[in-house]
Amino acid sequence: MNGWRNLYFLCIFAEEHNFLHQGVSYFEKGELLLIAEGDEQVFFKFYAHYSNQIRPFLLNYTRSETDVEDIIQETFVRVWVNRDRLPGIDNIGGWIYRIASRVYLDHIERDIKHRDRKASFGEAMYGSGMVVPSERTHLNEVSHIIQVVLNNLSEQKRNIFRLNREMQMKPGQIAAELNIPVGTVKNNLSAILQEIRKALAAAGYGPLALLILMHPLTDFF
Amino acid sequence: MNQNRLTYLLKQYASGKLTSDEQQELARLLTETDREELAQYITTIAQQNDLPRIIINEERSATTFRNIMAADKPASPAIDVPWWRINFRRLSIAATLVLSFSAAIYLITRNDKKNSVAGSQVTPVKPEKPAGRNTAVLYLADNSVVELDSINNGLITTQGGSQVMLANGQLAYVAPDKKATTIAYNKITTPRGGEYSITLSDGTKVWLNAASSLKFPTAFTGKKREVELTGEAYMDVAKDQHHPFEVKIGNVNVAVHGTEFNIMGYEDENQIVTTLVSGSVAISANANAPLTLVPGEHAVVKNNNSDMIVEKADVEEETAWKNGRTYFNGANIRQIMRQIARWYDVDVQYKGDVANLDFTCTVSRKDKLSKLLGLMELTGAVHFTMEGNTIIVQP
Repeated sequence: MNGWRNLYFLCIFAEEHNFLHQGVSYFEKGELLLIAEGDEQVFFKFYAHYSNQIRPFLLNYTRSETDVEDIIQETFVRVWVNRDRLPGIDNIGGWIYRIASRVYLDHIERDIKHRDRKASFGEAMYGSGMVVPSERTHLNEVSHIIQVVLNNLSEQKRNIFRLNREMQMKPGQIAAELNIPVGTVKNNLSAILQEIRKALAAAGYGPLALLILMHPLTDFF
Repeated sequence: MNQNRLTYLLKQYASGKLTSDEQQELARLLTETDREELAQYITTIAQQNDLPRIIINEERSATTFRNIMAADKPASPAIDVPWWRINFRRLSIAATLVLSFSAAIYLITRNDKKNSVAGSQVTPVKPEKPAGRNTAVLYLADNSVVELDSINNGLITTQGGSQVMLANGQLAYVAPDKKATTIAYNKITTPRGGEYSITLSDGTKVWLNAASSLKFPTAFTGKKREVELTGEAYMDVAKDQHHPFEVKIGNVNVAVHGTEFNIMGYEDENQIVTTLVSGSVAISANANAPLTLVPGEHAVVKNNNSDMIVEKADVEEETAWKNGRTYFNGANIRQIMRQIARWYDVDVQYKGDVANLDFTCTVSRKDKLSKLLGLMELTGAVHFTMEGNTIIVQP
């Protein structure tokens, strides 16, 4: 059974590798490690680089600049909650594009369904000023799910996460502050991100999240 | 899947030209085609090189980044901690009260005459207002405006190559690795009732008090590091012997190398006071020869004059605000009320013969207005009421 599973992943890996040959990663291991530990400054560089690559496509294939930013936002929230796995991902550019593509498709599908509903009720029902903020609701949902996870963390995990996110403290600094081993801090941070990813998957951000969880490029080695 | 057809439909959708039939077709296509296959195809289009080039809107990109960072930021608690619950590890409230009580008894008064207040027509209202908070407005080089609030963390924008980051109510400028080509000036202003701290691109930290402003370059490229101040600021200047740091305020110029000091130059105080905490500064008024200070001293320039008085300072009193405390040590009531007006964003009016009283007291800057005024009233020498947003001060 195990053999079959490995074979399956091997196929996906091979196919993907050929299809999305992007060459070496633009960001060095050191920078990815910093991002993995929650460094917002370095992540901004990372975000700027990749989001600017994706924007031209989105601008040409969505209806407004707001749509572009919404898709970028959701894409990079997903990247961000996977930050602890970044150093282990082989083709980061390709990985990000895959996430963006799926977010894009979901967005289009939602938008069309929403327009359909609007059309069938007739414009009169919505009036001139009433815009149903489907995209806003959607993005808020993602945030909400994450907040629920954060609210249910144990006290220690909550402290560690807070120090990391609000005070931008590195694991070493957190370990010193809380008087616990650095390894514990790192494990806890990773565990929290895992919980967030599981919650997102459970809430119906399914196929994509599962894809990330089972992504062969990291599980392979 | 017909790839060309899909591309066509998506382009129609994007330009708003989708017909009803086409919309249905697209919907069906999205539902019925394998998502994986669709995603792979989208990725191919997205990575094409022949897409029209676009100009990136940095502001919008920065806003999106802020939103991304906010997604997994733990939400701040909404509860307001009552003053008697504040933990006693730091300057305890009890100790503060004791200090204030004894200070109140200690009080120096010049005039004990109390006007008996005849029955007034309006029931006097006890003054109350919440303390000031972390808020400021940032004016960027292109004249766009960013309202700084302690809630929005992350990157604000990029200015002249420097990244402008916001973390927990502190603004930080991160200088670029290579020399910035354009010198951009930003200005940060605090309203009455606001305060903010900012780290400049050379690492200098500036705490800005209420009703103040700081104009500064986003990256220091010249021989001197120059900034312009109005109001009050506490600065911890990053050491750089080769590039002296200069603060211009009113008619005063303060030159430093690596140093901590406080400058107070509110217009309604009619004087500019520079207090040296550590390091060394040279102060010059009206471009005259500068005088050097040693730590613990301050230089006072009154009313745009060239005369400067250098004397021993009450450093604690003059820098308490930066440490989160309102502290007066034998300070005149009018000066106290001016400070209160700035931090609590209220107006002040004097009725009757309010003598020149001196007060000594200390409260946390986070305390509500009633706390501070209440302490002063305990002396019996002064009474406060409030009409609208104006505090009435009476004997």
